[in-house]
Amino acid sequence: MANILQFFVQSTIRSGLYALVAIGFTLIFGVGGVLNLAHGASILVGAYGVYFSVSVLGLPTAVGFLAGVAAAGVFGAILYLGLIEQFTTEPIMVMILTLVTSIAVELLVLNTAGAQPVAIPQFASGNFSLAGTNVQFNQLAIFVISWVIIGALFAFINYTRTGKAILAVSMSEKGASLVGIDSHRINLITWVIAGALAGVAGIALGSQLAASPVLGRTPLVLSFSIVVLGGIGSIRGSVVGAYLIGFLEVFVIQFVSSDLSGIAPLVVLVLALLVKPEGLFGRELAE
Amino acid sequence: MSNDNTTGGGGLARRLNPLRLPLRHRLGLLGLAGMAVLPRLVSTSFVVTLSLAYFWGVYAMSWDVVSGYTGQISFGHGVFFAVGGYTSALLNLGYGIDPVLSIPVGVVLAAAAGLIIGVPALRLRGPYLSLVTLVAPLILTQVFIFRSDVFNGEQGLSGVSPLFGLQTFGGEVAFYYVAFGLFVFVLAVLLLVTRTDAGAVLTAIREDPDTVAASGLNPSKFKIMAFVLSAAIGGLAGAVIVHTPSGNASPTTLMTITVNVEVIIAAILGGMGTIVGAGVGGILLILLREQLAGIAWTVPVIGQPVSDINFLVFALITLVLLFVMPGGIVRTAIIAGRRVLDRGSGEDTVATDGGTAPARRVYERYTDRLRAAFGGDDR
Amino acid sequence: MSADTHDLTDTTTEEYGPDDGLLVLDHVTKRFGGLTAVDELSFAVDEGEILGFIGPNGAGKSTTFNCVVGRFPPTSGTVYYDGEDVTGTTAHRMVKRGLARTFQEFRPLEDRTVRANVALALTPDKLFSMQGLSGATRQRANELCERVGLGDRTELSPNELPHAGLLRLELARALATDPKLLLVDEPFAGLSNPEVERISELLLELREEGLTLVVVDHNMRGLLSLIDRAIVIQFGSMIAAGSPEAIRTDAAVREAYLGGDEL
Repeated sequence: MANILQFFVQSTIRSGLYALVAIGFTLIFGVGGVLNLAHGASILVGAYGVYFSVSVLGLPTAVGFLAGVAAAGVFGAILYLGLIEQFTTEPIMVMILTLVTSIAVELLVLNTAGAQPVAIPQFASGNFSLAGTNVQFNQLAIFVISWVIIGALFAFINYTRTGKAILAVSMSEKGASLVGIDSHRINLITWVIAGALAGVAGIALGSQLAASPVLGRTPLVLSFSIVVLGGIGSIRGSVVGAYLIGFLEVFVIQFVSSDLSGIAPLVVLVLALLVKPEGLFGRELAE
Repeated sequence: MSNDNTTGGGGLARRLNPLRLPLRHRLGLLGLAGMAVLPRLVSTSFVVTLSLAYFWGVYAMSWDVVSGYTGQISFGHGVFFAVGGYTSALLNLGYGIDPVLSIPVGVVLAAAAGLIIGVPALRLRGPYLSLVTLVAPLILTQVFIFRSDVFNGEQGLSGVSPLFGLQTFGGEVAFYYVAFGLFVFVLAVLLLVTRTDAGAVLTAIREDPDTVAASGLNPSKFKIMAFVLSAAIGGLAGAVIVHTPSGNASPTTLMTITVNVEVIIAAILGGMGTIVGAGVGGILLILLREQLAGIAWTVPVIGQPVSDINFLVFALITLVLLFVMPGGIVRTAIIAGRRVLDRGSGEDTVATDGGTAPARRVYERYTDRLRAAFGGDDR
Repeated sequence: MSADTHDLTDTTTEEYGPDDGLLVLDHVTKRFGGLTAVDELSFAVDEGEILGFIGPNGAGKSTTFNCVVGRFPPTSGTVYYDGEDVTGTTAHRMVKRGLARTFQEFRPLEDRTVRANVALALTPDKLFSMQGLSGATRQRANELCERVGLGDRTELSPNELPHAGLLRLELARALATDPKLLLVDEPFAGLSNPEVERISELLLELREEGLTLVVVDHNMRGLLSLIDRAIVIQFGSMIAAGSPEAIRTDAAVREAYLGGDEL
């Protein structure tokens, strides 16, 4: 029984983090139809943005967090304006370029900050016990932040003018421009928001363990699995996908073998692609 | 189809007569002949570099036949190199099987891997397929880590017998010819496939699979063929390289994410969808990397010598080249050469080499956008 | 010239067998999710006729068409071609059986010349074939371009062709597969009247040469002098069938087009 409770607590905490990791990716996939392989790089920029601000420049932690998120947002804008916008009808080219970019960013980080993991300040310190499981306050903070962001994004998309415009562009760029929406601006906003969210995810990931130049790789694959499982471009779908993957991973670690934890989401991704490419909540692709 | 320009009749013998070939083909043959005698002319260290370069030429060509031709971009071609390389190495280490026999087994297993990845390719279009190819090496890496007792993790396998019992030291020239022979063989096979009818079908699939089906051709069959052929050749390169000093059965040689991306960069640089371009691109990539490694100049802002950040340099060069020569180095050279000689329309059109490169269209879009941006009448 | 004209009242569901025509649809239905695009549609195409397949936009013409050519299988019902059940047969197999199609939106391969587009359809469906290296394919492709009126434009790229030229290219590609039945999808949309006449002439000539044709369109423009018989569908069901003149005066057809497209 304790085992089961522990399983639920750990799964829930991990899933919250995963939802946070995937949400920026979903947003870009949903609105621009772009598979952003540089999502991991945005995560990296967020984490190392904080590291540089706080540990190297000596800024206060709170300012450092803002700087990290802002850096990731700016990185998103640069990506969109410099690369993506020129290749909107060439999804394969976008994949190649974002992949090259992400490796270049990785190497840049490696060559400036070194291969050694660096510490990222935590949102909160200390820990407490929940259902026999030791939970860090930082983990709880991440869980809360995750849900606050999901809620805020939902509200933003459904109740603000800009958010509704984003929704419109995601459905039909042509249709949106017919009613006077500047899809260029909307795409840019989406990339900045998605970048900033990836930055938050980067800080969260880095604060849990530590940041290293390969910090963005696993999250990228995770985001893929989550988004494909949940359905392309559905925020609700990716939250559900994140929880499915989170629970699956903890299940595998706790009851099967911790060595297999990395492979579980990959297998799920491939199976999902083969069996139900449109995902659990995706729009059915009809003629 | 390719070589449409020759007016009827003729026959293959006449067609292959070197004196009747178009200039660029004659130049190509001349180049190959030059490469064959090169070891007599250059230093041993350059011979070693070139040997590795040929393997990369084969890597890039194997990628090109599926991705450049059918447009199904593979982000994980290293899987095929790795299946070929590890299979051959494990058979050799575990059972003492001679490389000459273990390499074919590696090729067969790599071809099987191509089938496994190619079948989903029938259902998944564009980015979704690329997703599968992106994930495949990650899965394989996880397997390697999980069973590092067999695969020896990041280190890879060592102590594999060299091909034909050659000596690592003193055998540089012999290994050069192994690599060169492999390069020429693969080049010949792929040219045969892509310059006959299949080449036209593969590029047509890239353009529009529905039109291909409406032309009475089975796109699935050709897609699978491209995948299996590509995988087999990639597997062959991987299997051979582990038995030479150019590489060993390790993730760094065969399947890291950097390998996967550099193969793509090589093919794009040389010219996607031309085979020859990809082969040249692979060779140039290694030569360029070797050159960069010799540059001790330190980049100011980053504070790192150029030699340590060669991938960054590649990334930049790729982007720049997309502007300057969107069709790749080889296409650009042919067009430039043609302009110099003023041989114009009598020759094969670019479509012979697999049609207008996707990169070309990308480039046009770029320039259009720039014009629009500076023209100022936009938005 | 004239084919047997089905009775105008004969639009209700009736049983069709495999031998009622060259192409027979028997209770073909196609649903996408909850939407029924084609509803129990049955009709037959007789050998040697030119059949007009007409309906307002969104009536289910293209969906019917796609079920027949093998782009996707029907949800239920049977398609017979040349006396055989071909339901769900894939697109390239239908082409090999002798049923060719043109694309309404014109889908040439833009990376190659007009001739190379046609030559592709002459290429055997074999993994290794060197037929293209002999001059025969090239010559046959030239002949086909000539046949459809593109003889002087074989070296052009498809994007240099005018609208009517692209239609001709579609026809040449279809003819290259040596079809018995040709489905022509909205050929006259976007053409000027003289062009419509010239294309009609070409289609009539092809029929004289033994081809059976189904011409899909959303109105009767250009079809009156071309087709032997027409079928009109709306909401995925047949609402009228008969000679072109009879169709024009049919009450149900007039109602279907009321306030919408002009027939």
